[in-house]
Amino acid sequence: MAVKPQREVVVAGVGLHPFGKFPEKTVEALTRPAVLEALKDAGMSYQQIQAAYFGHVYFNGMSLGESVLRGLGLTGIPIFNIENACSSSSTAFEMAFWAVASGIYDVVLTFGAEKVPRGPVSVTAEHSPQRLLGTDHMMASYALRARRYMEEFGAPVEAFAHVAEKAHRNASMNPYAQYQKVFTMEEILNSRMIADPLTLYQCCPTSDGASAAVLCAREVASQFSLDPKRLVSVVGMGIKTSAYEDRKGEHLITLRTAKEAYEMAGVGPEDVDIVQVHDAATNAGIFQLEGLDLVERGKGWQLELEGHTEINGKIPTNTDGGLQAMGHPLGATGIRMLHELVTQLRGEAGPRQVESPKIGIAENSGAGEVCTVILLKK
Amino acid sequence: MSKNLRLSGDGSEGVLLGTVCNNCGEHFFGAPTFCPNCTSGDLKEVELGKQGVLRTYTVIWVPPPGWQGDVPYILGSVELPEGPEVLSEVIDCPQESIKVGMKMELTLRVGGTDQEDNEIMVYKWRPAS
Repeated sequence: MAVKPQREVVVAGVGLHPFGKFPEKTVEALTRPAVLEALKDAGMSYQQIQAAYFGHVYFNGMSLGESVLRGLGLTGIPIFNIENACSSSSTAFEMAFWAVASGIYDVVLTFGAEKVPRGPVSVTAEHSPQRLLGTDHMMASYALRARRYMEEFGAPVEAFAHVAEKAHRNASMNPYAQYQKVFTMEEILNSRMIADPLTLYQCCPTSDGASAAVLCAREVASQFSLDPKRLVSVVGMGIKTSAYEDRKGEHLITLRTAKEAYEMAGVGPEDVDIVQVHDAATNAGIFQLEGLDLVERGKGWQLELEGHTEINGKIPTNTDGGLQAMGHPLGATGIRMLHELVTQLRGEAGPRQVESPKIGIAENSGAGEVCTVILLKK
Repeated sequence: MSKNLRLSGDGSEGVLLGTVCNNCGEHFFGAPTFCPNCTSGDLKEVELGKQGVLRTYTVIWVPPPGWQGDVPYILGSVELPEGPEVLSEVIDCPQESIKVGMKMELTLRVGGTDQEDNEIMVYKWRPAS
């Protein structure tokens, strides 16, 4: 049931606060620089923003979006605070997109931010009896899926480790990344075990960071000092939550979401030039390629091990380092992926530039489960 | 400990509680109010089988907040004859002998204490005897 937008929407500007650990900064102080960078990139001022859509997860006081943007001026615009687990800011981006596409606003801001505490991330509330079962463990749920996949398709653990090795190599060329350091396969496989078969360097770090994008209706773009050569169109998107049949495979929710996004964009997996996937754990970096229908189910691990997901491969994936090396400030991750796609589609990615990409896809997963898929086109 | 476990009179034995949908026939672990498959509200409580097959597992070396048991520990997902998979700790099984496909059986242990220091019984899996 692909829907068609009533008018074209472009990404006019993107911005990031570097991902990492910034204990001295409040969420507000982390987020404003990302918003200001996106505004500067678009050549716009905050006064021109007609609405704002903010994704974040952890509680940092009520109306956090208002608290962040108050520092840029009290312009009276509507500000929407959106929590959708790790897919919060891609959800915010989708809502921002539809607001512009349907003609409610011409120019909107969408942004995401998080300061994630150290240690394993839990889904349930404190004192939940489920915690005595020992099952509430984000990386355990990834590890359980990894083992099932290894049993079913014969994937070796090296295929998962390669996702991290590649991510770190890409991140070493990215000044925004939390870990700008190359790790060898041995270092990754021999790092501390978290949830077998996932070692520490196969689990994304806990991170602080922020991301932002300015969206604009194409038909009003000429009213602003936007460089038409740098505009990237938002051509497809989908968002889904768990369906009962998804229990039969970890790729199924993404497959359903991607189908909707491809249909809306009028393109197929064979048209995609660059990919961002939610590699919170390394194995998900492989499953999601199968979910996006870029490779047959059960064969993603071979694609990964054969090097096809490298920057110069046929399916360049997580070119900025992904969650593994870029870091994962939950609410900031979705728009961070789109930041990288926009940068690559513009040809501005410097040493990690993919050769002339035209169509990019981003998949962002959240507990719940939630899946978002967004397609951008140059 | 939870609505999903019914203990015998002396508390030494227990059975997992599930639900069957009278509309579509699917079984679930736990007590959803509406059927996750067909959304029907016509559901009936059932006792689930005490044995099943291990479908996947992991060994946890860094436990989640609130865990009061040993570390490392094995978590296993066991598929019951009625269909649902139930995730919990696997005990009485050395790490090196765990294998996907093993037959497992339900067992009860004290999982820890609540905020008032009451012992809480939880369900666990062990290799079937």
